Amino acid sequence: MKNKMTLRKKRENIAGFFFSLPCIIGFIMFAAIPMMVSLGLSFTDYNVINHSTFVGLDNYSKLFNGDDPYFYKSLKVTIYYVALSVPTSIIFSFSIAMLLNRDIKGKGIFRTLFYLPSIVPTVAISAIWLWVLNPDFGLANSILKSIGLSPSRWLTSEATVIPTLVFINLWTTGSTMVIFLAGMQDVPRQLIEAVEIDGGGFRTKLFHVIVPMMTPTIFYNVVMGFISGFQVFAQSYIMTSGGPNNSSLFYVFYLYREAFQFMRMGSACSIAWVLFIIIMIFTAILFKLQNKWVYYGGE
Amino acid sequence: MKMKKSKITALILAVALVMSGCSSSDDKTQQTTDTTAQTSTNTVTEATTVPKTTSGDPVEITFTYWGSGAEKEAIEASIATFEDAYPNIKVKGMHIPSEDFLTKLNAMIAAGETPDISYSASWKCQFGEDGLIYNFFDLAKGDPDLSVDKYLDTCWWNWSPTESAGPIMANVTTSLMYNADMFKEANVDLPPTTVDSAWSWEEFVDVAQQLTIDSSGRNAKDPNFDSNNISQYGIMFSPNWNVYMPFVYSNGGGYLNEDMTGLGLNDPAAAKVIQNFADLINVYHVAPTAIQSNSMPAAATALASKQAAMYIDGSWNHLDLSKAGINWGVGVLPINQNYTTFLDGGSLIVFKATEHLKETMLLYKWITNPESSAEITEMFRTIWLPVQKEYYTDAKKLDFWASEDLPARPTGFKDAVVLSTYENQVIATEIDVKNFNEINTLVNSSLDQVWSGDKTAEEAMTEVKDQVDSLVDGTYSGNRS
Repeated sequence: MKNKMTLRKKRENIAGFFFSLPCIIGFIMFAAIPMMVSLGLSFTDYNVINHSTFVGLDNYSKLFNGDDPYFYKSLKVTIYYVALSVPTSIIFSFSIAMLLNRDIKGKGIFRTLFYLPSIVPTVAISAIWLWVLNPDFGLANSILKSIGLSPSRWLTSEATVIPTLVFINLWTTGSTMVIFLAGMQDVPRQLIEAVEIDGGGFRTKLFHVIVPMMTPTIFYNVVMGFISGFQVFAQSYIMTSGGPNNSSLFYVFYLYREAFQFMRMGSACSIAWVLFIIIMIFTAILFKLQNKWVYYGGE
Repeated sequence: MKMKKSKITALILAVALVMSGCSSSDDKTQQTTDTTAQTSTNTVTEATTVPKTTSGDPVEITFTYWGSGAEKEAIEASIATFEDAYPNIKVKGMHIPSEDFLTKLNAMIAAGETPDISYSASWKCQFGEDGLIYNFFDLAKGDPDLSVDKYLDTCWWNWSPTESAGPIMANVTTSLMYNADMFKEANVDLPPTTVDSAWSWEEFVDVAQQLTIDSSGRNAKDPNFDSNNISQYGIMFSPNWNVYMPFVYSNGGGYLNEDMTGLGLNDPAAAKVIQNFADLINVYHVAPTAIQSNSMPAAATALASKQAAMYIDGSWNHLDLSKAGINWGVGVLPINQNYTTFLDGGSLIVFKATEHLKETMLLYKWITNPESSAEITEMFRTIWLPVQKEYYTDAKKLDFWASEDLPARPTGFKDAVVLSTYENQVIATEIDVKNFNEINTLVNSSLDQVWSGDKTAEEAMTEVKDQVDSLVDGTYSGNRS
């Protein structure tokens, strides 16, 4: 009997392994191997067209000792962006999800409308916002002026460029919203009813039932928002070219420029690895902290 | 717990995606370098004199290029006529958008699919130093069609005094363009077209003020002018080196300092000029504030929609302007002393990896000859300026591409664009200054503070000087630029 079970288990294991094989091969071929190669290249002066020579930790020390005029600047810019964009996008998409979770007429239409911007290509979104936010001829400033407010420089001023990009980012939080919406379906009805019977209002329902029950979903979205925030690239590439005065020089844009404009692949790989480690550390911290606030049902 | 574990895996996978940009294979590079080394042992003369194919056996050459839709069409059509003229040559034309060009080209080289001939920007000098491309001086040896003194003296992309990536394939220059109707409406004389009658900077500012109108119809000279509600600007300019450098040179300044050991833009003669441009925005309010972002409209759009009356940028805008259906014109730059400017453009590079040098050189001549085909001629009559001297010195040849009867060559074109440039040209900054790409990236972002009015040109340039100086390595010509 014992032996039979093991055999069956073995078979199941093998079958399971085969079922996951495509994924594993994909990961090895398209992620693991390139990562290892890039780690290797980060210790060289590789520039694609030439023989590369081993330069040890030069690429890394150049970053940290300040020889590279962009490294710390881009790190600061990116952290600023993440610090602003993660909380705002979480709160914004959560609020929208709350609204769309109500039983109202045309709920499907509203859900579609709010999700729609996330499937518009970034390039198109950027082009529209560039037009709207043009400080001299744009719609946004025309509206501000017509209601008697002073115009903003939006993307063209060092002080406002990141908040503006964060604002544009809110427009595309559709997928986060959908995940919240799905999470809200799992909030036990009876708990909400219990609050209602006890005479609790909306606030009590929100902060004592909905939010606590949703913490795993919130946690997931925070982690994902965090990672994608660190990897933000297209907006600055298309709309600002990292400017003005490098105040929107996002880390990945800086990486891109090093690799594809200055042709220093070795150095670009080291920049990528530093980002990998930064994201790993921050993600680990987030996972450590989740014990304090994330509630997994049944645990 | 299960949920958490699977999530961790998912997250790690997601994070791993960021690294994929750096993937590449060492083996492949190795291969290419070997092929390159092999082919470079063939001497040039051997390759040019010994045809590798017979007439019955067509050879294929790969040609990579960038450019607008119009340029792509012209090149494609021109390749077709080339193939008709040389039935034994097949050309595989590859249009690659300019922003991805180097990336794609690098990938092709790394994969052992190096093209035979290609458009190129300033990175070509690196290719030259790395031995990837032919020295044009070797290719031109013994070929009367490519004789070095046929070309303008300032148009050479050299990576050393004796080694060249070739002459510019087609020139562009810095140009003052305007909407003539807007001048008429404001009752202002059109910009002058000859160097002798060029405006001083003060006269230029004065005209720009008269052409800048607020929403109540007052111009910028009116004491009640409302600079917060401007509906039409007098001038737009792209905030790039090609716009301010003619003014810097004319004012006795340089991109590099006198002994070419560091930045020169912080010197008073250069900084003054850059400050002048910034003052157009922040002091006189005759130019829009949004010049440093990508949101600035191109010349044809800005002039056609009457957002601006004048526009200073490259002459490549002339084609779009001629198609915009407006009454447009060109003037000389507002420089009334020591008028200095330059011609600029990419060059065609020939890779040493080519196995069909003779055929490749035929294509080279085809593309760079303004009279090779109707499509190429059209390019030289709309966007490009020729590189061969005879097209400037021989009146008939000049008329061939610059006649003011042509739709993209407005009245005064010959004086304002051709003669003023031809007679007062130096080597373009981008061509001459070593490490220009990286230096200019630093300079450009620092200049953002000047355009926004947060710093003076001298302050900003002095501040960035230390970082720039470590990148400065003189010029290719050996003279100050």
